[in-house]
Amino acid sequence: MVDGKITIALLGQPNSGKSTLFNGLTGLKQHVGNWPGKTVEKKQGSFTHNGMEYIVTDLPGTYSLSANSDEEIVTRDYIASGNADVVCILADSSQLERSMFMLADFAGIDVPCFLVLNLADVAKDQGKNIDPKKIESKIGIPVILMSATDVKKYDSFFECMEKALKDKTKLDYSSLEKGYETVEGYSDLKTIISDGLVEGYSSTWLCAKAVEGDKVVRAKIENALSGEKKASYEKTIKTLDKGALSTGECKFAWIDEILDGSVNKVETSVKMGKFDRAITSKTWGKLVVVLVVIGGLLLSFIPALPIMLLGGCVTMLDEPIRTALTNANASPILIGIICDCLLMCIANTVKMLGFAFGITLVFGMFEESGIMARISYVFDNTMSKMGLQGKSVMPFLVSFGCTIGGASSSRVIDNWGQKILTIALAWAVPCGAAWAIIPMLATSFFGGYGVLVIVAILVVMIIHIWITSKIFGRHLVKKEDRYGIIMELPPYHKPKWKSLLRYVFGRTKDMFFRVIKVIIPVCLVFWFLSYSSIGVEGSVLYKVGTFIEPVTKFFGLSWQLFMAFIASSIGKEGAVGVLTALFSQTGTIFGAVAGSNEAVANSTQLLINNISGPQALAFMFAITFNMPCVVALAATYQETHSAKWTTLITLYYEASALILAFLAYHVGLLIM
Amino acid sequence: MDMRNLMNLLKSGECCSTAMLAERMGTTVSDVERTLEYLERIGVLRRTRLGMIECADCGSCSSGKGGGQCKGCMPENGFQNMGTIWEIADT
Repeated sequence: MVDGKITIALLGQPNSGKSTLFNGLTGLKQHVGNWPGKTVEKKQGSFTHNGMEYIVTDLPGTYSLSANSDEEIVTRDYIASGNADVVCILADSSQLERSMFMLADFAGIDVPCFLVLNLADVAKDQGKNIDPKKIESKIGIPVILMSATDVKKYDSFFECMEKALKDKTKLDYSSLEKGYETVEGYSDLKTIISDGLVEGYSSTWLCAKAVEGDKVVRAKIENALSGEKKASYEKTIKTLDKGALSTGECKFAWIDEILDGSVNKVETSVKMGKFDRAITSKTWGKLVVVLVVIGGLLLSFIPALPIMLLGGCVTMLDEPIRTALTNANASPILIGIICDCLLMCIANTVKMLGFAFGITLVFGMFEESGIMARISYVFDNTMSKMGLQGKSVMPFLVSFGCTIGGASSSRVIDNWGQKILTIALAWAVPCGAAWAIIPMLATSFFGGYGVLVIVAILVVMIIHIWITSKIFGRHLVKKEDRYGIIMELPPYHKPKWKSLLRYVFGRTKDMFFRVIKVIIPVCLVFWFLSYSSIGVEGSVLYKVGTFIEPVTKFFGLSWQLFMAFIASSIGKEGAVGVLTALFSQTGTIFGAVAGSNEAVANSTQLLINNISGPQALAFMFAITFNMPCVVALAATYQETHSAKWTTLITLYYEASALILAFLAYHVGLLIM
Repeated sequence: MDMRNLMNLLKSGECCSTAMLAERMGTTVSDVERTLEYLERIGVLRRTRLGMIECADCGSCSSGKGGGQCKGCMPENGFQNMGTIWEIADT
């Protein structure tokens, strides 16, 4: 008591309603400053009740009384200093199992106190029936259940406070101490540390904190001891390891003991939903997830179809435009550029966007609804086996949209080796552009069987990731770096359609411009390189192409397809640009090589007529699994800061893409 | 909940959800959650909310100008429903 005024300290975790109570008690009579020597805010206020003046100190909201932060040190030093006549400990009634931790951490500080179970209204809404009297009988201090927001009902608070002040009620923590006695090293320390060794703290509190490894407390104890006791203390401390785990268990067990029979809402054991149960099954989990992903891919064809048809409509403009240009005496080169390059590029881009739109929509729905988190959860286990952190799941998922984003997302991975491995594996995930091109090519060449090609690509992706992890992992990740994770799955909820559609349309629009920017220049360059007024043999591309074809054929790729493969390294869209140029109707190269001057309905038909199924298969695998694009390469270097690893990853992917093309071609020859 | 058992489970490389953990340990999800929160506070576990992080230099889409979330790669405020993970902190 100072100058006849009684001091109350408010102690509680953040969001326990401490500030609400402080405001409710003091109204406008408050002032804010800093704790001496610290940048921690100090709030004090005053009120009068029954003719007595009270000073209220709103202590910083902290989780515990350990020395983890300035706030925690300020809080416990203030309480132990004896400056407060009574400590009002607040706990959130809606989550007492958690919020009573402060009470458990306070246990052992020898100051009068009482407990306020705040947010009673929230707990009531949750269906909890809390009996403060039962809690009171277990811990020996006044307990009140209240809502600090309801200022009109503060009478019982004042009663409780006055009782604590009058009786100087101290917390009964004998049961907690029994728990501490089972903790390694605690009893030994108890024989060394006596009550009052450090002013304001009981030996129980000091021993528990010393076991927990609280450096500030350990230093205080060491300074207070001398001679044999000090030596024996230092010896005991050295034997302790992760004592905070054991004391934490004791504190939670003590809280449960207090709440047992005092709170009537018993949390039922967890019943996982059917889907959660299915995906977490060791036997079926991965299969269920794979089926869900395949189902998602198939589903994405539905919104894709109308957009593909729109792309087909663009090609129908070819004839009227060609006729109009011919009638206007336009040069053949101009007609070629407009009809074969520009128009075909736009048509192919729109077709590609159909799949990009569908996949973005379906996977966006998966994410919004909480399914994606479950998919990533299932593969976390696999990732752990590959030596990756749980956080690696995000770069992988982002890579389905864009490998550049995937590489950037690896920034959250702090282990350097795991970060590089994550990026290396994320390259194997087909990006949004691949998901736009591959289904278009697959359905063009294989019709309804195109779905099987997509499934095969997904299967190969998984195998590719596994093999790559084995090749790169042994150099990058040590076995001891491999840990499991615990994941809190988000609840299921309906997608926010407006936001989702805004994103999907925005992304599709973005992709359209990005693709056009790549396709048109590539297409123009290759169109000009393939154009020759003096016959096929005169074109540069033909000469180069026929020169390298003996090698490219080994991988199942004609030289035109090989050119498209190289262009796809710039960006997957580049492949479409090359194909559009080389297989356009007036493209002399193609006509000469194919030995046919027949006019065909459109460039797609021309492709189908002149590229065999096995070649198409080889090409699709080659462009899916080569390096994603030059920007992804730059992003990889930016994240890894290693020219060596960026080069190794690039060379590895170029080589493995050709090997996969070779395998796909020969498998294609066998089955087609 | 036996916290050392929990740590051993993580060290063995096993992954599990909070619901599974509660079921396996014969306890409640709120017990699991407060334990995880405690272990995070004492620096044994590290919590990461899964979600899109900013693209530092994504020049390939119209919205990714660097220094902000790349809306072209991910929905605006999207990929926030990916859950939370706890893993052993490097000590």
